[in-house]
Parts: sequence; C-alpha cells; structure tokens
Amino acid sequence: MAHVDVLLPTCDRPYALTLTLAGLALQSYTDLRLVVADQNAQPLAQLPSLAALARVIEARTGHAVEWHHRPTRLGIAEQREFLLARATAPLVLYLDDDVLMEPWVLAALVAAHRRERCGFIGAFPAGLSFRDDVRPGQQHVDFWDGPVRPEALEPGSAEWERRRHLHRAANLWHATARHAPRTPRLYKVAWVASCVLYDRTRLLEVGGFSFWPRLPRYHSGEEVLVQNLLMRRAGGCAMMPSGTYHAEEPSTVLNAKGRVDGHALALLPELAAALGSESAA
Amino acid sequence: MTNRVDVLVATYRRPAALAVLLTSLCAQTFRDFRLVVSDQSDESAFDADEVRAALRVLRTHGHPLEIHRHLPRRGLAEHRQFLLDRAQAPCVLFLDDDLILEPDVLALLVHAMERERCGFLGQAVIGLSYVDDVRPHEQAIEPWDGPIAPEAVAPGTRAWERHRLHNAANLYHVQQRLALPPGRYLAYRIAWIGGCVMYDTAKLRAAGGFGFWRELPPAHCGEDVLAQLRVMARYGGGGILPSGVYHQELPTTVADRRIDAPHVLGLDRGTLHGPC
Repeated sequence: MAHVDVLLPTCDRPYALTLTLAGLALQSYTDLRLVVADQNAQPLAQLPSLAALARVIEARTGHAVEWHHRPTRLGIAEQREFLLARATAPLVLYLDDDVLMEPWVLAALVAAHRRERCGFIGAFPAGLSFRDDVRPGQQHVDFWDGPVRPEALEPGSAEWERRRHLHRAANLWHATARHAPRTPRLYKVAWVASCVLYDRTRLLEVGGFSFWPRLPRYHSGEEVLVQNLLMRRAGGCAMMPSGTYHAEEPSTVLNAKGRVDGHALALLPELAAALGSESAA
Repeated sequence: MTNRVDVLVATYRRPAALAVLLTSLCAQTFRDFRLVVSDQSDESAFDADEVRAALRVLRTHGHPLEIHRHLPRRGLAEHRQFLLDRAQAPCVLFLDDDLILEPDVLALLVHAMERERCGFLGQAVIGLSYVDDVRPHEQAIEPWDGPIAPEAVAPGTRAWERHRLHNAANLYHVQQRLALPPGRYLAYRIAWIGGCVMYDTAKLRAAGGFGFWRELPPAHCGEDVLAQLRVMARYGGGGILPSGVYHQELPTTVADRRIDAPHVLGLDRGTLHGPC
C-alpha cells in the first residue's frame, strides 16, 4: 500500500491534465499511487503523452495507476466521493486537472502532515498571468505560529473574507515573494482548492463527500464545506510557498449558462450541528 | 552573461508533448540554463494554453527564454543548425520535443561533460511501453574504461551494432541491473544516441555542426546521427547511464525516411558516399 493515494478527477481538459501528470510524475516523493476518474466522452488514457506519463509514474512509484473511465457526469462532489471510495492509503491528495507542481511539493505536504497531524494541508496554485496585477490590500497572511489547531470559522465573517482574498489572482504569489520563507510555513485559510492533502481517516469521519446526492448537478463549494467541517474537528491549513501553478484553463464544473445551481455550504449548519452533537455524545 | 547550458528544442505539430517536455525542464535540479525553442508547426505551438502555462513557470524560475517561428521548413538538419546558430553557452543540449526527463538529467550530463571533456554525451531515450519486453540479446554494453577518445564508427561496421542497446527498454533493464549509487554514472561506447544529447558547443561547431543540411534534400532523417559521427571521430562521444529520459512514444513527425544522412554523406566533411 502506498502512503499517499493521489485522487485526480478530470473532465474536458486533456492538455492541462498532461501538465498535471508531468508534474506528478517528477515528484521527489514517490510513495504514491495515482487514481484517475476520467469523465471525458472518450477515455484519455490512450493519448500517447498521458499513457507515457502513466508509465513513468508506475516505473517511479512501483504502483499501478488506476484509470477509471466514467463518462456519466453527476457533478464534481460525486467524482470526489467515487475517488475517496477507491482510496486505501492513510493520506489522500486531491489534485485538480489543471495544476502544475514543483517536484518538492508532495514531499513538503507529507512532512507538514507528519508534524501537524491536522485534517488537511493545501498547496494553492498561483495564477501567473496575474503576475503584474499586484493587490497589496489582499495579501494579508495569518501564519500558524504554533501547532495547527481546530477552529470554527463562520463563512462570511470578516476573518473568512480576509483569508479568502489571499487565494485570488496572484495574491498568494506576491505575498510569498514578500515573506520569502526559506522552509514552507503554514497559514490559516478559509478554504484551499486544487491541490490538497487530506488525512483520509479524518476526512471519512466528517463523511467525505457523501452529501453529493443532496446537491444540484452543477454545484461548487464541496471542498469548502468538507474543509470547514474538518477545521472544526482537526484543523487545516495551507503551505507557503505552495510550489504550484494554475494551468489557467476555463472551469469545467459550470452549467450551460456558465454558473452553478447551488453551493455546498448551504449544508454547513446542518452537518456541523450533526458532527457537533456526535462529538459531544 | 551566458548560462552554462543552452537547451535547444526543435518542435513540429505536437504542442501537448512539448508542454510535457517543458514541464520536465521546470523540474530540473540544475537551473543554469537558457531555453531556445523553435517551432515549425502551421499553427504556432506558442499559442497552445499548455505550452504557455509551462513557459510562464520557466520564466518564473528566471530562465532566459527565446522562442522562434522558423519557417519555411527546410528539414531537420537546417532546423538544428538554426538552433545551433542561436547558441551562446559552452554546452548545448539538443532535446527532442516528445521526451520526459527526470529532474536530475541535466545535472548529471553537466557533471559528466565536465569530467569527460569529450565532444558530446547523451542519455538514451527509454520506451517504457517495452518494460516487460526483456531482450538479453540486445543488452551488450561496452563501458569506456579510460577517458573517452575519438572513434570512427561507420554504418555497417560491428561498432554500428551498438545502437541496439538503445532499442525498446533495453537500457532501462541494464541500468536496473547495474543499480549505480545516486550521482554515479557509467560512460559507454555508442554508435549514436538519439533525443537528449549535450554537445561541447565549440567542438560541435568545429566539426561542422549541421551545416551539411545544404547537401541534403529537405526530406531526410539521421541528421543527428551524422553530426555525432563527425564529432565522435574528432573528439569522442558516448552515452551515460542511468538514463532518466523517457519517450512519450508519439508517432514520428519525420514521415519520409528514405534519405538517411549518414548513409548519404560520410564521416568526413564534404565526402559524398552513394546511397546505401
């Protein structure tokens, strides 16, 4: 069994996916197994570059790549739940199909988890096309200067808003240049998307993404919800520098009008209360 | 100020493969290189999102980048000569546009070039789809026991048969068996080596580079082989393992292989041989 199962949902972005797999194939940390949930109409596994990258990943990790072609699209939360059910490793890395990773990222995330034992640690990608869009008012960073601790963060609160801005445009990238940490530092988040290492046991304790049937087909916020629940019980954070970059392709979770029909945070009060009474009991 | 290495990439009609190669360059532990990419596709490779994304990261790492649209197409030899003419660094690394490189490939090549002081060194390209196709009869390897010396290797000779080691995943099987400690390498004798070759820039130029393109029709193959044979005859060259270079195993973009440069032109500059 690998120590990390990399869970990768992909849909309609074959070329960004090649970058993502190339970054994954070259990680210095190799105790990983890749599980792909492919929702393209035609399976991508046979594209030459992707097939070659899968072979490199197998050769370097010693673990067979699991490639599931499942063209029926029920939404991203369902994809994530499907992948979680395939996982067996103590840690799972949810990796979006448009993220380019530096080779040290996974090693740094695993090391941080070993130290903190918290619910999740993210590596939020910079949008480098925003490099020249410097927004000093959105670069505030709250570092975890001790151990990462559980916290109840209310969506929409002033603190939530402040933390949220850091993950827009290239704000994190600019903040990183200013703080220039020599070794990765952990900071507080509202949530963190795209490349997130979860403690699988903790993630299952809050129910994973099993709430997916209660969401409309086109939704967002499924990771925001899960992370908010995890933060309450086990704490969560993100890493600076993140060592990741966005491929900057259009979103693939939107409906024909370019919108979503629902946000998973609508379920937060109910799920938080249920978990709260469970831990109180 | 020049970099220690200029990485030279000629590309044609495969932007996704190129983006994977560029991602491999983002991951290199050796960072003192400049990148020159020249594209001969009908639609510019530099307009592809995935190529732009990878180039943005390379820029962020501080690598000087030079991109060219080099048209019309006059064949690969001319394309390589065009790239060589752009070079400023003491070493040039020619990379095919359909490779995946492990992060230590450049570091090992630079280290070996400094020790060996020969004309060129390469890491042969492994086709991992052949990982279960073990071919003991193609695993013969001739290590360089002393310093790498000039060698004349011609088509049809016994030494020419060395190329079989680079077929399929043979080299992968050999290096798995040898299991050298990290940072160590083995230099071995070759006929030629494809895909990922680092030259001493001055020595490649002194041997004529790819200037023989004028003697070939635009449709040809084997131009890298011929350049290597000529450098090898004057300065020596070799392969080093372990190789961390993998093929993406795309169909070739050199469709017409009837004119094979080393069979048409000889080892000596200006000598013309009949077709084989």
